[in-house]
This record gives sequence, C-alpha cells and structure tokens, in this order.
Amino acid sequence: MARRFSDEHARAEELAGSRIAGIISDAENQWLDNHLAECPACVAEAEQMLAAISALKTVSISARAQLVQNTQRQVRNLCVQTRQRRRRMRPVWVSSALASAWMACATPYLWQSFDLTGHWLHIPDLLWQMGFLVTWFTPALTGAAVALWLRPHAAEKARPQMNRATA
Amino acid sequence: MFQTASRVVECTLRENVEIARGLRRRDPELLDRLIERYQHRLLRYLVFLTGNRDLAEDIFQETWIRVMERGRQYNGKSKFDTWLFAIARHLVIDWSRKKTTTSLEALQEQYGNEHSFDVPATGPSPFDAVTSSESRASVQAALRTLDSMHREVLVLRFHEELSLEEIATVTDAPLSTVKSRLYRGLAALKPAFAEAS
Repeated sequence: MARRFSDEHARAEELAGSRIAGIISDAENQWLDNHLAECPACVAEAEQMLAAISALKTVSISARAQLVQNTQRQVRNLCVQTRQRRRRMRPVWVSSALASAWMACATPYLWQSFDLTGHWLHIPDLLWQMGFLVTWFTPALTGAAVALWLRPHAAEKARPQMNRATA
Repeated sequence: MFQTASRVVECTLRENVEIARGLRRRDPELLDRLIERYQHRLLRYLVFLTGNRDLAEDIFQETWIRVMERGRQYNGKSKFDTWLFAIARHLVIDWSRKKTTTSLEALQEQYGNEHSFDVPATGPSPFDAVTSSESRASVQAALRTLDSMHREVLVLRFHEELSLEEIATVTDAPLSTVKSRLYRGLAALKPAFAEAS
C-alpha cells in the first residue's frame, strides 16, 4: 500500500514535468488532475517546477548593439564582395563555356587538318598528334589558369576576419 | 478561429519563401533585417549552449556569415529560426571539435562555472531589470548544474517556444531523445533551483 502511494507521487512528479514540457497524453493529464486535486504535497512540487521554469524564462540575454552592428557590417561587406567576385568571374565562365563549345564542334576538323598537314609536311605522327593535343587543351588550360589566379584573391578578400564586438 | 490560424500559417509560409528568395539573391537589406530580428534569440541560444558569452558572440557573427554563404540551401519549407539555430549549433560543434573536445558537455567543463551566463560587465543589464539579484543568482546556480544538452533543449522549448519536432530538427535528434532530454533537464533543474533558492 505504502509502495503504491509512493509510486503515485513519483508518477505525479514525472507527469507534472511532462505537462510543462507539453509531452503529456490526455489520459495522463486527467490522471494528474485527479491526483493533484487530493494531494497538496504534489501540488507544491508541481508549483516548484513551474517556478523553476518561470525563473528560467527570466534569464534575459540581449545582444549588444555593437555586436549587431559589427555583424551587419561584416555580412553586408561580404555580400558586396561576393557579388563583385561573381561579376569578375563571369567572363571566365563565359569564355570557358565558349571554349568548350568550340572544342566540341571543332575537334573532328582540327584532327583532320592536323592529320593532313602532318602528312603533307612529312611530320612524324607523334609530333603532329602532340601538336593537336596542345592546341586542343590550350583554351581549357588558359581558362583554368585565369580562374585559379582570380579565385585565391577573391576568396581572401571575401572572408573578413572575425572582429570581436568588444574590439 | 480556424481561418485565422490558417491565415497565420499561410503568412508564415509566404514569409519563409521570401526569406529563401532573398538569401538566394544574397540581399544585404534582408540579411540586415534578419540579424536585427533574431539578434537576441540567437545570442541567447548560443549563450545557453556554450555557457560562455564571448564564445557565443564569436559564433553569433560566424553564424550570420554562414547564413549568407549557405543561404541557397534554405528552401523556405521549414521555419527560418529552426534553420538558423541548426547552423549555430553546427558551428558550436565544429568549434568544440577544433578544440579537441568531444561533445557539447565538454564545453561547460572547459569554461568552468564562474563565467557561465555572464551578462556584459558594462552598461545596464536587461537581466538586472527583469529579476532581483537573489533570483538571478538562483537561476544561474541552477543552470550551472545542467549540462549543455539539457540546457539547450530547455532554452529551445521554454525560451524560443519551438515545438518538439522543431527541436528535433535543430538538434538532429529523434523525437524520443528530445522528450527524454527535456524531461531530464526539467527534473535536474527543479532540485537545483530549489537548493539554490
């Protein structure tokens, strides 16, 4: 009997927590209401838990104006720099796309012209084939080199150092 | 009643879509407004999570930069604050990994207790305006006894008033885990608060 009594209090305590957390079922809610109606000790426990939550809600932490302004400035700068970087990279992407399209269309003709020229001038096969490869890869390599040259500069500038608001 | 609720939901959805569009465009005005709107909530969450104001401020700035960089990933289907808190949380985890600590709980140990939940030393504190020094001390003492996982869930539920599903999204944990952390957090808070007061 005593065991059942103590179990009921423990259950009430558990359910009071669940109710505050919003994780209680209707049946449990009903059971808790019935129990609290006849148990002042559990009412006091539940009120204490509610007081703890109310106290938790009073912990009011505000961001300082300086922190907010610094963050806004950094984010705004980053937005502008990202847009500028994109604008700077646009010609690279356009020329890369054009170079890719040109390569896709011209490859068979380029191969044929290297083949014909090689045979006409009696150039060893390996040599004119190497020449073909160099010509074929030049636009892509140039584009990649330009992109690589632009990217580190842009990335360095784009990411500002974190300035503590208190600095 | 139902109509009002559905109008509110519709309005929120529309707002989320607007935010998603603005983030895709990297609209500086939108980002300014978002920083303004979520400043206190985000910082409060970070202070609760890390237990350290200076670290929370650093991660606060880093979070907004990450929002700007990863804005395209926000699709507007979920609430913006849920997404924002998830980013902040990942940054805290990244930070703790860099410092070779293994978990969020380790943050508390690393920073000790004396600076936990400190409000800025200069200027009037909103904390002072709201609570008496006695109850402030009680709450601080009670919070210090909790680990980061439980503090986090408590703040998301009772301060930010997120639903359990939203908390599960932010913390990347199953709903059952969220419920159990919430219950354990509450259970741990009660005696600690009683003792402190």
